[in-house]
Amino acid sequence: MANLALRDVSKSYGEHPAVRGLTLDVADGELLVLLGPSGCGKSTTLRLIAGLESADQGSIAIGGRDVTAAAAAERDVAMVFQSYALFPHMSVEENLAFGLAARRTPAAQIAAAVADVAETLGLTPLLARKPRQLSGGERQRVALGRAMVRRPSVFLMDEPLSNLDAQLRVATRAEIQRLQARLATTTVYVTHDQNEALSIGHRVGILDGGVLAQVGAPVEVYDRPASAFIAGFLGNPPMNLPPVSCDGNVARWNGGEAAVAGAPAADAVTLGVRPEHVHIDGSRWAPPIPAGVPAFDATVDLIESAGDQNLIFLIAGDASLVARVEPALRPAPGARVRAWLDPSRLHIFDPATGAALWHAS
Amino acid sequence: MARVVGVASWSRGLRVLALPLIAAAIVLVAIPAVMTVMLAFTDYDAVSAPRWNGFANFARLWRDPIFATSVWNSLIYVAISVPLRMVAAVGTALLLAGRRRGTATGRALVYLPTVVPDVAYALLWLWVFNPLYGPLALAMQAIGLPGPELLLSAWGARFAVAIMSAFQIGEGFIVALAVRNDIPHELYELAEIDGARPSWTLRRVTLPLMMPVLLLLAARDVVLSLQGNFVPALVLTNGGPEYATTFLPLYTYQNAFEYLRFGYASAMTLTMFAVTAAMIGVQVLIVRRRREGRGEGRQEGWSP
Repeated sequence: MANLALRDVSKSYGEHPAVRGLTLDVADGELLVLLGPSGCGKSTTLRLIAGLESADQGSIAIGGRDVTAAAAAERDVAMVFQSYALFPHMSVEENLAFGLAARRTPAAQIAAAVADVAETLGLTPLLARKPRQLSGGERQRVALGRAMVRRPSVFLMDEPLSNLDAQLRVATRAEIQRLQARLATTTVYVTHDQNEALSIGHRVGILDGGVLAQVGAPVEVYDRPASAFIAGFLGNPPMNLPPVSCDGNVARWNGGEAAVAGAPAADAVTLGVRPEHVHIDGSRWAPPIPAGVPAFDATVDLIESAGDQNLIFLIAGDASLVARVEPALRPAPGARVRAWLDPSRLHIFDPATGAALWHAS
Repeated sequence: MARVVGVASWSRGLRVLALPLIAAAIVLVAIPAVMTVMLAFTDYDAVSAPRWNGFANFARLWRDPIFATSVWNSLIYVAISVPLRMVAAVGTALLLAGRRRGTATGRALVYLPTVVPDVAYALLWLWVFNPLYGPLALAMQAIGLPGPELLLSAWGARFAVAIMSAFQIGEGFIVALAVRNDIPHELYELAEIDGARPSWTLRRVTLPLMMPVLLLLAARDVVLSLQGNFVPALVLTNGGPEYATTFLPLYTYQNAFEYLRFGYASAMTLTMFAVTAAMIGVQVLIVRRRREGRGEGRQEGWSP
């Protein structure tokens, strides 16, 4: 059991900076998800914590002990790889025992620990099998079990679910969440899948170009994104980001306007509004247009049905907006509708830096 | 349809391209092989016509003490040379796996002796092993040790031939290198995080994962070693001292081209073929037993 502290950690590969000035604290027992597109430095961060790479600068401490210069073996961490990295010539039992056997643990102790973990993960009937005789989900469980057997201070998981099919991924996601809660082991979990990040992370850290752009609870990073990049990366479909002008009270674009009382005045800013907060008049998912909230006319460009919801692609003058509405609402393409933006859920971003300038709530 | 025609003409083109190889294989391999089998049952001196003599050549082989010695020498040589060559090939491959400074040069250096023509290579070693002015003898003298008169003793000469063969390991080295680099690096990263010592990782991860190919390489090396000692035995030791390095290929060559006993030499070739086949057979059995012992090669229950 240990907390994890990264202080101003940087790492470059030749000329290419992979991680820049990363400062991050993970509390004891916390599950922190590092999220970002490929090449954002999330895997490098994990490898730096594991000791597979050495930091050019900064320090890493596990449980208050500075491990910046410590070898991987001395950091008391366990890693789950995307490829699972199971030893193909060893049985499930030998795979589970690997870490303990490598450290010359007495055989009786290994047997007890392996049996315990196998029981927890339902691997007991598979102990004699070789990895190639297992399904993808079973291999994934062996990889998890191998990390658990040693009872490390920190779990490091590098996209552990990306090789599973969609259904199994959701089930295993819940399984990891349960296991982590029960073991209460500090965990850093890397993924590029925002659904995975938001659903299992106690907190989510979003990396952009090797820099930690924001870290916070899932609700916080979703509702109060620190930058247009994060706003556009989270959410499916992502946040609408039309360019507008703002007088401190109303945001306007050619074709519509929205109430942004208290926002900083500027000629050119980026307005942020999530599809679930673009309302179409008459939708059962939206209240009637409140008094004093500006509405605008928009043309329906396209409808995407997903069974439990419809996405309506609107064109309102210069702005393209996506609205999320109930499945029953199906205006024909080309139809004119009355739309409005929920004034309590709007954001203003700096168009040059992308930084959030103002949140409505 | 156009696609089908394209495939047909493509495969016809391939057949045309294969013709020179097929022709060469027939003229240089198939015909001599058939002739060897036939000549083995004749008395033939390359001057008068071959005379059928049934199994007389084989009966004579059975009584020929030098032939027995040459079979024995060949087996000893395989027993020394194959392990030596395997250790050299796998050892250099493991040292030069991965990408570090100097590995590219190192790989070229390891491969280099393999491309030296056999006779030139043997002459070079004749100089290295020379007890009067060879660099090996001079080096030993320089540090006050008696010169290793390798080529003057039976076992010394056998080891000398094996030692020089242990530097011509290019193909085995390349294969071992490819197999080693094929092992996913995550396995090593996992071992590193788990605190496995390098020797433990070598024993428990690297060698077991390379083993299937290493066994194949060893089988191939047995065949190569049985035949590959011809040039060194001819140039370096001329079969001596006291027939200690008269291996099967050399004795066959001497009978055929020095004593003009082509029928007898052919019978010897067939015997060597049988010895080689038997050794491969034994290895196949060993490999198969190992696999079954590890539960491989059998289809076990697969749960989705």
